[in-house]
Amino acid sequence: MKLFKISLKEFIFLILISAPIGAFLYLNNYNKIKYQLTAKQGFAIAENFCENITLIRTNLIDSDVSLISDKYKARDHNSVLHSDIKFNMFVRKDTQTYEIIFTGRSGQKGRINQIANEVLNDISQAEISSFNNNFKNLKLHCKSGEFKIFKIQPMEKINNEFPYTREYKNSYLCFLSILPFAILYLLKISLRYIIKLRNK
Amino acid sequence: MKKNNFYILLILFILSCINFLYIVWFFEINGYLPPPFFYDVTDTFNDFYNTLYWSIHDGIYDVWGSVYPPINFIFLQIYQFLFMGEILEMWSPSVIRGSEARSIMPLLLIYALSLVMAVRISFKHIVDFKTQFILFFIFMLSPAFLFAVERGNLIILCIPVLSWYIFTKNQISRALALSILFNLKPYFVIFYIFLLINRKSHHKNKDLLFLSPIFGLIIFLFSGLLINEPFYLMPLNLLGFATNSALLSPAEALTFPSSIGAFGYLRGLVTEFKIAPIFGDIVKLILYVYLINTLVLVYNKKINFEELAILSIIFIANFSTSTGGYSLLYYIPVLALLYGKRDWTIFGIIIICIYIGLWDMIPIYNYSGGNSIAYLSGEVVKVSPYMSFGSILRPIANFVVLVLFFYRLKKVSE
Repeated sequence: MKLFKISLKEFIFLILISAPIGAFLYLNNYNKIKYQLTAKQGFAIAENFCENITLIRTNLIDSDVSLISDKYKARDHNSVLHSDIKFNMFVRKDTQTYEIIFTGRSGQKGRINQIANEVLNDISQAEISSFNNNFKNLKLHCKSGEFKIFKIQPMEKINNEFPYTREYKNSYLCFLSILPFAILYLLKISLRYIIKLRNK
Repeated sequence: MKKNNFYILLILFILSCINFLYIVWFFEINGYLPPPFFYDVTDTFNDFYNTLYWSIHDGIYDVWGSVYPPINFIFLQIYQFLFMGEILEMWSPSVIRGSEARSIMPLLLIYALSLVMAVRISFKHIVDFKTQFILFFIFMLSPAFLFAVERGNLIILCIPVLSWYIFTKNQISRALALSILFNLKPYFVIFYIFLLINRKSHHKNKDLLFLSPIFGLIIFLFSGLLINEPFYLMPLNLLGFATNSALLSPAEALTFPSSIGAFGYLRGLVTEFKIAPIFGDIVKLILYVYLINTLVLVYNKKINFEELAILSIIFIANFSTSTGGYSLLYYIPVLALLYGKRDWTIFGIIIICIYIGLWDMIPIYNYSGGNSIAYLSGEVVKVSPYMSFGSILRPIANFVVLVLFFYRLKKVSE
């Protein structure tokens, strides 16, 4: 049991080292938030065309979404103001949705909202432009005629009641803040034991 | 005598090669790997990719409910950084596997290196280099190793550390090895429990007993700090994992079992005839009687460190079905100790019944399969799964090892 005891001096020393680290870990994490936005992909669709074709449904943008994603990532990277807002966007093929995820701090909600709207707007524009370029004037043959059949089904934002969630719970934050002290204390007693062992 | 041993090992190596050629031939014909490989042929390497996926996504312990300590995720994050491209935007493990197919290669190399290290550390002072070379190939072609590779399970990383733990003479180094083992697979705490309850050897192991939990805790807390996830939930997840009896389906439990406790699942798999529910209970009862007796023996007798380590490994390989048949890989350092002691009976049982895969060429029960896309061949295949003779033999042999070693220790300590 003697090995586990530390003197008041040692305790103060450990506190002096661990308290700033613990405080930093707490302050660095307590206001972290995550903002998740989901939107259904837009499509070019054609219904009841000709005799046998009841539905044609084609993605408007797919891999092009990475261009929009890269644009925002590059912008965030270059901007000193929102360098700690992390942005991520991808297309989920199984649910046919755009997933847009931001992590930042609670004080940045307004900025995150603004960027999220810009991203949605960009996706919408890209979809419209893809439709105009590739589908709007596309004619398909049926019997003796040629028809423009495609309509746009635009991207649709899915409403999330709580888009903002806290990244970490209070219990974890408290645990995080005392962790440096716990590690240093364990290091101290193991070091003391090893020195004792070597001196034998 | 030495020459004879070498030729016997050479024969065993040839038998391993025959089994490996059978696996290759079966794969060429059918497009998927034969039993005892996992019957879900779409799931290849997914132990690795599932864990890798979570290592870079939030919710390791609160959403996924992982039972892996944080150091596993640190390893995977480093692996991802070194050998893979950007995978943060991929929404499932199978998407990562699909787009980064070559990323498995460095892992296979790391596995091979782990095995080389394990053999070198364990057999360095026991056999010559030529024999080590043969042993390496016997282990590499063993069903346990191939099965772990097919799953992509990180258990292989534990084997060199386990060898280090057993064969180092320095108590600080041994404590460090044990603490790393705790942090790779928490069930290695059984080693500590055995050391703790073996009161009569406390004076010899006291440094290890003091330092290993402290080192283990430091590694656990520090690695947890680095992954910045609520890792304090891990012990709770572990408790849930250990008490969840419905974790495995009969087919999963009987694919590659190491414990006779898995025979309780036979009732759920065999449909042609009825197996009385009491069969599984009797088998478990016999197993637990021996496991409890082992604990009592450890408590009452003075057992040296090496024998205690062998007993701990036998205990881990026998006690649970949820640890999986991979735990049979831990016998590699045990084999070195048995070789050194010239204990040929147990050595023979382990290497012939457990490490030689010929027994898996004999199907003993076919059960219903279906069409699947085999990941390795990329083809739609009709899977006809079967339970191999090896899947029955290995748990029995493992139990026999427990019984034999138990009586041997009992006799020696009397």
